[in-house]
Amino acid sequence: MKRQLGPWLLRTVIAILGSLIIVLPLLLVFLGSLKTPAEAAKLSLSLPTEWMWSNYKTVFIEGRLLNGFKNSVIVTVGTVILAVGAGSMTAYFISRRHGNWVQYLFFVFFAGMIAPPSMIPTIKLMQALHISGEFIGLILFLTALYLPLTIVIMSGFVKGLPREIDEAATIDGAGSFYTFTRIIFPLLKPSIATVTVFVAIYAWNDFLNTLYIISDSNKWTLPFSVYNFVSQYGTEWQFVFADLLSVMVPILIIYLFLQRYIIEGMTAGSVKG
Amino acid sequence: MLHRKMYPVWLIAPALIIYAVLYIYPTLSGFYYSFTDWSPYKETINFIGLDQFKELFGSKALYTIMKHTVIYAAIVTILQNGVGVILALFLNAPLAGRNFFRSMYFLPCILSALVVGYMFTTVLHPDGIFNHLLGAIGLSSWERDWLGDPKIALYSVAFINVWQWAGSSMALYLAGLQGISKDMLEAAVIDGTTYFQRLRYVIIPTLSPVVSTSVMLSMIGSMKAFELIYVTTGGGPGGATEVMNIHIYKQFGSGLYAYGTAANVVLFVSVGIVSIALMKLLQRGENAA
Repeated sequence: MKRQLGPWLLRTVIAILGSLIIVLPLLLVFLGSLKTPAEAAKLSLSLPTEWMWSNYKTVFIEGRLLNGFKNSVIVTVGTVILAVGAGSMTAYFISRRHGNWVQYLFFVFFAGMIAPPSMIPTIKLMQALHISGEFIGLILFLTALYLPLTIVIMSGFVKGLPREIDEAATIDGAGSFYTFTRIIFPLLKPSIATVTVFVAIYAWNDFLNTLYIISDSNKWTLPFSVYNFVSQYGTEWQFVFADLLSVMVPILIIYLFLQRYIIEGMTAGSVKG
Repeated sequence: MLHRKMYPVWLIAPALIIYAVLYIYPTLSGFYYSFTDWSPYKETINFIGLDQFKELFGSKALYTIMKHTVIYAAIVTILQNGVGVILALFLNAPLAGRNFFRSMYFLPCILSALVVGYMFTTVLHPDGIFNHLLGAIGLSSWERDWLGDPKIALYSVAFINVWQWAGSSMALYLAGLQGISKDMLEAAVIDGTTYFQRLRYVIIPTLSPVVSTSVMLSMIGSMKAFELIYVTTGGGPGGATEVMNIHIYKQFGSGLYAYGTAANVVLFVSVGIVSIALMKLLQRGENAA
């Protein structure tokens, strides 16, 4: 097909104008974070007359960003490891093992993608198990929440691997543990990447479940620094802006390098849903 | 038997234990607690039958909250998918920097709802850039306190939700558009069809399963909405943006555990009914397309 220059140019211009809707709010945050209190309070897109890089220093210390970052890493890494580990084993089992009950099991997991969890009884249970308010409680709960999607995605992928692989391994004398860990698991790499992306992003950004489960502010994850900061410095916009940007930066940097994988991962995560 | 030995049951043990203990058990026990007078201030939990539900359905509050939930979910579902389809069709046509724009429109999806929420409390502030913009293009009579006016706050938050998640619908539809065969489109062009005919007879029918998935996802997701609303309005002003999950969280905060759990059962059942009804409806739509 012939490429027409006119419409091509028009579309490009519209796309640029459209992306302003995304960029302008982010630019507001960036510019506002570098202003003096009086200027920042105007909430406008003007350039700062004095570039207050010191706002970041204040936020970094007062907002305890390092602590929040550390907590976010613990929660995210823990959830990803558990979801990928437990999820891949289950996906392998469900797509290989015969029997009606296996189908029911799949359905039970599938329902978890739709039904809203019941938070108040969850907290009660966690208190009884002495994991309420602990990282491990949050990690286990987030794992339970994202296991359904993990299993659905990974079992779709396992079905694409020929059964003959398992059979050949078994004939060669490999046990089921060896077959899974050494032969099947490495073959699941593409789906592991997909699952890692969406579980990591959801866990990193989680707010609702963390709000219910974690009450100790020492254990709050990075996004909570904003929450904490706004309640303390609600009207000092320059600090709020600087904090918002600091919270965004880690994920924006990752997005900059891995955007293709992140879009694919999050889309696959929802296509299967 | 070899089959059982090859795929032993211990493979499902970790996932099943985590899922059963932290998801299935709380859900089932939630059904039980909703028939009790459970509260942190009482020593014992007593079975009281349907009293919590009588109180729920007897008060006007539940209907208002349900109405907010449905309005919010409907607006988000329609707009997010509408904008998503348009963006996808648009970015599937030839233009410069296509991948750049895809990444750009998808970007809000990776941000925390807290960040997006607070960002928009400043954008939609009475003195914020949105009102400045309206003033600059001569629409100063449209300026509002977008999140502070009870009549429009719910719509404003729905708009923020669409801002954040339209890119995810776009990515879904773009993935669907890749599935349309080039031969078929070229054949249609040779046959002298217009763009809208191709849209109606080639593109939309191929895309309809994706439409179903995307609509289901945004509907279920927005019925369970919490984070953006909690951050921007906290359910206010005057309860104008109070949806189910906000209501449940408030009951948790004030120690009305049984009542909050009963409200969660209502949400559970509503999401279930809506999902099944929507699935049936969309299947019929897919067959018609």
